[in-house]
Amino acid sequence: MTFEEKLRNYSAKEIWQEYCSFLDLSMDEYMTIQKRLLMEQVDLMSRCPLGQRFFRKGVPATVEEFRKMVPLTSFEDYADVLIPQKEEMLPEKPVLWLQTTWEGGDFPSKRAPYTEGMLETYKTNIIGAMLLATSHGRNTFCVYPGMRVLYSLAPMPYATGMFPDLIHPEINLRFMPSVREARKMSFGQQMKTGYKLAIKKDMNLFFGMSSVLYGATRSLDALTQSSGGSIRLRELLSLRPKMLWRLLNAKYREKRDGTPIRPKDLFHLQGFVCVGTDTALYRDELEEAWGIRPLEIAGGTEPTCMGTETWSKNGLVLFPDACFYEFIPETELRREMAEPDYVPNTYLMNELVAGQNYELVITVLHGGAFLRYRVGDVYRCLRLRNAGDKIDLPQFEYVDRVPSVIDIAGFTRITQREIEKVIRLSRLPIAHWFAVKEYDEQNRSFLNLYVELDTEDADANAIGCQLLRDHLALYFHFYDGDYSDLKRLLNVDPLKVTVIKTGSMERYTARTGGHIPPVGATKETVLEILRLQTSCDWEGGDRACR
Amino acid sequence: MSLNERVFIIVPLIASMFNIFLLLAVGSVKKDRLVRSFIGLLLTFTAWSLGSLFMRMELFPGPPFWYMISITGIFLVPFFLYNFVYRYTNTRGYFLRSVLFVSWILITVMNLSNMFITDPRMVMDGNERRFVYGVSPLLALPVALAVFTIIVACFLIYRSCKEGNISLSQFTPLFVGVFIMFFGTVAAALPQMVSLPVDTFSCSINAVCLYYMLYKRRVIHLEGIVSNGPIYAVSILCAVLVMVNAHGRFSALYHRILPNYAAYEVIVTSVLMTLGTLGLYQLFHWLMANLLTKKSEEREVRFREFSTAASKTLKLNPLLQLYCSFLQENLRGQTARVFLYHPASGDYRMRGTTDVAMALKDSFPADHPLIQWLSAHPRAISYGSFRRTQNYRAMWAKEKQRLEEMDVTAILPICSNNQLMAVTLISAADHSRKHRTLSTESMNFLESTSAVFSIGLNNAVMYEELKYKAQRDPLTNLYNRRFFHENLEKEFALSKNHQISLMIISFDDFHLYNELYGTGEGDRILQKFARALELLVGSRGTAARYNGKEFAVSFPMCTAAVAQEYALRAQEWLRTQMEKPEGRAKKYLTLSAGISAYPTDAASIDELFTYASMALFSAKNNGKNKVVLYSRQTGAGGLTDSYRDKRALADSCASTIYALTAAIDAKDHYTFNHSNNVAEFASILAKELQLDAEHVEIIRQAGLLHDIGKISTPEAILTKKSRLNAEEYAIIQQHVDASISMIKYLPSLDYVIPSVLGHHERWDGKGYPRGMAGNQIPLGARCLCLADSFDAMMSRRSYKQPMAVEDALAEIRRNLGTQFDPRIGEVFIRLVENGTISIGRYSAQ
Repeated sequence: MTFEEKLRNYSAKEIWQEYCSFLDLSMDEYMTIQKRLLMEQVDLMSRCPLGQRFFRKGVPATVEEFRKMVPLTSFEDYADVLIPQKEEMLPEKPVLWLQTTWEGGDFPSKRAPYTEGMLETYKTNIIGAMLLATSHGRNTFCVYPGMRVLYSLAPMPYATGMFPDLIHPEINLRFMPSVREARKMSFGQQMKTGYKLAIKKDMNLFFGMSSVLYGATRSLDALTQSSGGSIRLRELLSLRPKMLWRLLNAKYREKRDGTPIRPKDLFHLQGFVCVGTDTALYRDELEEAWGIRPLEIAGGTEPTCMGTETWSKNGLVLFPDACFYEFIPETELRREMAEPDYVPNTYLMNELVAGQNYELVITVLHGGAFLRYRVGDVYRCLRLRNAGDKIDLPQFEYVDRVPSVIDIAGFTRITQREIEKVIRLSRLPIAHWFAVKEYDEQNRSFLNLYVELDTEDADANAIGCQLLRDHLALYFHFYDGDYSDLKRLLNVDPLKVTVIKTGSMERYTARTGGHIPPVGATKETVLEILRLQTSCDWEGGDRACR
Repeated sequence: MSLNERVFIIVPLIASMFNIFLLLAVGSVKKDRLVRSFIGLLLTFTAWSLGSLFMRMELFPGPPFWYMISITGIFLVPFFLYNFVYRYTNTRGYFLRSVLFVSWILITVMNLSNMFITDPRMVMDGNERRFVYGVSPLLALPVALAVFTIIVACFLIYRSCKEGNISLSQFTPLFVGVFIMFFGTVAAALPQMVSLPVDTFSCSINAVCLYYMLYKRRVIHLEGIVSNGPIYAVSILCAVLVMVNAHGRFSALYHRILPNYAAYEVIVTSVLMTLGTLGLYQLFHWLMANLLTKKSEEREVRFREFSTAASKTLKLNPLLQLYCSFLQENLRGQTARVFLYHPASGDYRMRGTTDVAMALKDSFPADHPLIQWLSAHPRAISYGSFRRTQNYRAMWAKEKQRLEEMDVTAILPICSNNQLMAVTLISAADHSRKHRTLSTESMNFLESTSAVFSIGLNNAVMYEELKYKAQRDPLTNLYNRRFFHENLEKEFALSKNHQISLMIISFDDFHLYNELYGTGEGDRILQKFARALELLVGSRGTAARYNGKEFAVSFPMCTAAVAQEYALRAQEWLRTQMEKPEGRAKKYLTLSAGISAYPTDAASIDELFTYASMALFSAKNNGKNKVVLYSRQTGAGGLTDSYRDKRALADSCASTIYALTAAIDAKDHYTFNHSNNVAEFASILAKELQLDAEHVEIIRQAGLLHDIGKISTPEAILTKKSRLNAEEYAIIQQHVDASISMIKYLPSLDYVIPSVLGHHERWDGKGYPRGMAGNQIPLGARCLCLADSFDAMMSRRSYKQPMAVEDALAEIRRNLGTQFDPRIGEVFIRLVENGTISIGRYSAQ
């Protein structure tokens, strides 16, 4: 029975029960589902060559044995199987393969297989998220066939592109542009056409990357007006009466009050779903602009759709049947960074501490390929239970990538390896460097590359920081395709170069004994280095520029 | 009457009949607000169609009256429709309802004064009667109000659907019917339709829709038993109408075909009318029975029978069969699978099905999400509903696939004392019915069935538990001695024409093991050994704990060699256990086993036990840690040494035996000689019976000691010259138990106890002290009995003279089969007669 048929034949309570009642689970019930499905995955893995690779010490019979016997993994452990798509090595035959950028990897992209069971779970969970996005409390939602959906997420073979394909057989949603047309367009074209159609015909549901959405919100005028600031009559006539009324009304108020048109003047969204790493930074402003608080969902190419916020939109709950979750506390992560041979301890969902940051480790269920896989995302456990919403499960918020990866607006992920390559390619006289993710006054993230120039190099004195930035940016464009999208789609300049006095880093190490990680140094470390260089009377002062 | 006129009568007649039928059906059930509101709606439909019919028929009091009835019905339909929806959706707030109610009252009053439809009258158009009327512009008012009222009703339904309280599909037939009526009414006003009764025709379609809504969608839960009253009423009404209309034509036809039987016309008409009425009654009964929840009295009767039978059935398998048969009878087109809780494994195993061709192979582990759900929510659930639970998410893909393959439609838990005892899965036998969910009625019926079955199951489980406990040894959980004997009898009966072996295993020096390592450790090794033995024997035989340190195993259809192989394996297991005592110091415990077999060694169960025990004793006396097969051949096999040992033991105990017999001698000289004679005669007899040397030695020693208990008998009784009275006889009978008590203090001679204990038992079971009969009496005891009696008869006693040998033998012969074993008795007589048993000693008396 399709979701649309269920909407027709079942009561709201029954539909809620099917898709959203995981929120009513107790911690014990949640863990029972987790452990049971993990043992299914172990069973499947034990029968395939890929699984046997990780079960060298024997097939685990319990969850505890699984955590003891199977090592923590990264994509390198699977690359030889997944990049060439060796299906015979996998626990189950995949239905499709998704891909994403492999930051710091040997190949430009990573691939992940999706089995039938995974897709079924993905579908159930994404419908659950859709219901929650339109909900104001338990058993209430507003989803119906024919809803107009603006879907501005990356297309297939990226994970976000799967939603329209999966949802299409379940319920008739009117995507703007249609799924077939969207496939022929670039991501940028797709967004632009979608917004134009939305303005003409209205939209009920919006799925988008928060950073893209944020950019679009700020430049809504560009979408509502043609050049010169006036609206063409022909365009007006193409609008549906309802949208025409809203537009004229908004224009009138704009002139009367002198306030710009806000998206909420044009659209009365039933659901607003955001995906992306910096959602937390943008959501207040997005809510103010769109009149509805965005619901964040968590997921990715490897972990599938693994979590969603609830109707309160104040914390992610992870689906019990997408992945088996383990968490590495931040302290363990720091220790691992300091001692590369150290194997960090993991904790389960029922062993977390509220307020702590954790790196997520997943085992993909239903025949997925990844075992104890370090996705590289850090989440904060906001609370262990939500008394207000009567949810007895931990809720999370996305913090960032792991310190060794710098994620800019969810588009690109930069690692030490990439920066090293870019610096090497640029042949700039950079002696030492470290990179940090920082935010500007508009809360947009950027990469701040702190460099010490090689004073022995004859060219060093001739190089200004603008030149450095331009030079490096050029190589980033060349090396990382996603990097160039940032500028094009979001009008964001993601690189800042700060030249610090030569020897500052050495001095810091000598004075504190601390190691400066090339990527992801703490704010305190950066401040201390800057303080050390300003304490010396060094000519030139702050030579930072963007 | 023209065809058109007839159409105008027949169509409203059918519509009226439908509506009256529904009215009577709903009127006969238990009423609440919802049912009353539905009755109101039906009344308006009935008034509409019936008024129209009677108006056309110009019945009394005349067309204007019936017109008013009809038009009032039409005008009130929107309000009563709203009222029904209002009740069904449990809407709160009375304001709008009150406003609508008052408005419609006003409209009705205005209508009665012909403000909307003016000048209604019947006119003759040629040969046809027609109903003509004028329309006032004010008619827009009730039309607008009707549209508004229906929109409000639709809104209530929409809101309720959105809130998830009702399903829209339930109301589809109602709205289809109402809209057909609406368009029918509008069409009736069109000039093209004026000659057709489209309004009343639409009314009958609406009635069919309502019937469908009640029967298929179960919008209203109609509780009640099919009542005959309304059915009779409708049947008679229909029959009368048919008779009124058809009598003239029938009469003419009758006179034309059967002119000679004109006098019988009334009788024939009456009979046909009665038959017609009965046919109509059956038709209406069937229709109404479909409407009511408790429609089948027959099903109730069957249910009562099942209930009674289930409460009386104590055994599990018959109860399961009963349950499956009942489900099979009452769930046509469905298959039921019954999974019972299996306490030992904790899972739920398929134990019964309504499909005899289905293998009982499935099972659910205790942690299966379905079991977890049913334990927490012990009520029947449709498979569709279960799929919506979070427990479904926890299922493995193959578990989901299995349930899909079974085409499960409903799941029925059977609980007792808050424990899930069984699960019944109801499957669609026909794949096309896969997604059809069971009706509420069927689910309720299943729940009632499960409640009855749970009581029966609880009784059966308790009975099985008690039976299990009664058959098991509490420490080792092996079968106990009593069950082993019962079971061996059955196995023996089955193996009568084949073979059966018996093995008795005994731990060597187990008391020493207990003293060295503690009784806790002793119990632990007993339990471990029991588990191992059970696994080892498997289905090949039956293992039991025979007594403290002894285990018995029967091997039906197996030779002694097979039993020996198992004994050696058990010995090996124990050796391994002792060598690997889980990280602790090595322990010392061995076992010995004795084996006998039917028919090679023994002729009966008792002999099997006797010989297996003897073989075991032999093993014990041959240095222990041995497996010994019983052998009859004197001096052959492993018994030679055993015999020597026994002989040596007897020699070493000779002083003790003689000391004891000397004590008797002091008291009663006769007894001392008697014991020697009995020992000699019995051992000669045993040899003649081809018993092995060791057995013969045991019988000899038993002969020496058989009367040792007489030490405790008062001398006055022993040497009394006159006959013993009953009290004295009772005292003297106690000497057997006294002998046993004394021999118990000589543990190395305890093997003589069976023979001593039974030497006063009789072949017919009238002996003492145990009252054993036939082959139950140990062979040694039967030999002693003959020797004892013969010596007693041949000896001179203080109270009697010796008998002649012929007389003594005649006495023995006379008592063969009553006091003595006939086979052995004949041998004994032959031995005396041929002089093997010497009687020279008696001549000196």
